[in-house]
Amino acid sequence: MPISTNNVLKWVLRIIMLVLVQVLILKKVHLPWDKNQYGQFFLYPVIIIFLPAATSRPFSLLLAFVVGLTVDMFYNSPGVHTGSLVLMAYLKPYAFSLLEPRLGIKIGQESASYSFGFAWLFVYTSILIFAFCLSYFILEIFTAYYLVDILLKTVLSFILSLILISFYIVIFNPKI
Amino acid sequence: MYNFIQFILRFGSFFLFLLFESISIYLVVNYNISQRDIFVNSANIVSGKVNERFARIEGFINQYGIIDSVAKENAILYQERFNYPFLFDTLDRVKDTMIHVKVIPAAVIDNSVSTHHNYLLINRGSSNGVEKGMAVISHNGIVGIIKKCSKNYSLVLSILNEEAKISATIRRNGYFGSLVWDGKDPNILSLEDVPKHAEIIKGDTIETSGYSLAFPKGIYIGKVEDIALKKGTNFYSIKCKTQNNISNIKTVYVVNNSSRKEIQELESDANINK
Repeated sequence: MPISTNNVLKWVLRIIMLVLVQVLILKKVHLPWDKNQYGQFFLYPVIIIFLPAATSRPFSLLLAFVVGLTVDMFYNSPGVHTGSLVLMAYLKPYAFSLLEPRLGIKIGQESASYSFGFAWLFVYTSILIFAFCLSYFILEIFTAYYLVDILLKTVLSFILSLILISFYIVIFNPKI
Repeated sequence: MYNFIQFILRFGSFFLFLLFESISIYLVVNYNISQRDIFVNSANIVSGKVNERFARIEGFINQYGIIDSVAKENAILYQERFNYPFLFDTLDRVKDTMIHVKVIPAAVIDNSVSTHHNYLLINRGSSNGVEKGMAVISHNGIVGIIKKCSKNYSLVLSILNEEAKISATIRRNGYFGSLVWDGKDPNILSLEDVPKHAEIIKGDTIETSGYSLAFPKGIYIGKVEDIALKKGTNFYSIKCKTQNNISNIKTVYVVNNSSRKEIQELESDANINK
């Protein structure tokens, strides 16, 4: 679903819902046996991941900045979510063009939207979510002293978030 | 000029990316190094209100759990009152002259234990007499220190935060050290800088020392679980298992020690004259 004047409201509502689910529910969810709380669930990056391919790049960067700041406000971690989400928004076109040639689809057609299969969306999402998780924990911990911690947290949160987003893909079948 | 516009159009998003990224790294660094107040935090109006609404719904769902824990606390107080009536009689008589610690009850409306820098948000603020630097405790132990107040909400620096450092002592022999959190298990704190000659055994009780102005003396913190000598030093690093579970805490108490201000003034005076 491309962004146009008709469905701006739908998009805004979707973004608000995703942010609320993240900061009110997922923030407090942890696996019961994960005593050190290494694994975290991230769902709200789908706001940026599933933006239509035709969206202009500066706009998606600006959106990432605003959404990131809002989430940071609730997490009490100024800059951490913002930094990693903006980085992810910047990497998005590269991930897209990395996978695109295999499908033979041209980007850049105005207000076009594509429906991909689950496998494609899964690979595309996992690249971006991994970048997000890694940069998130590097920014959050901010010392090389905890290198093992950073890697463990990244891998565990990456897997958990990916499972969550797979459900999102199956349920909502997003189009890019 | 044309070339310049072409250049901006071509690399504009890269510059935008650099701009946003440097803003966020500036925020992160500023936040990590100094404890200066930052405009983005939960004590502000929007997120405070949203969090409180949600906490109310959540509280409604598990209200029986909360009522149960409050009833238990009351039961213990009654038990003390009935068992030592003479003590309370004397206390009643000298009440007016002696009271210098006031306790304000509060409900936790937002909480985290998963990052290295954890905070709690409570629903009492400067209009209820809460001030920066006051101690926050719960029924089972210590919780944190007030970091910032707005009119109706306060942000609490949790003991599960790498910035927090609280003076604590071993009840049996009075040796003291500073209590910090290593960012891992939320139920394990470590007591650093206890000298090597101190005699410590597993199961010793650790409590607040009263040296840090916020916490009154003798609040229970936890039990010694593991003792290790720090490499290359003459100090122990003691693992302390806490009893209170900060991750599901609902009601807390803000402790206002009125002699805190006087002592602070005295200390700042002494620093000036140094």
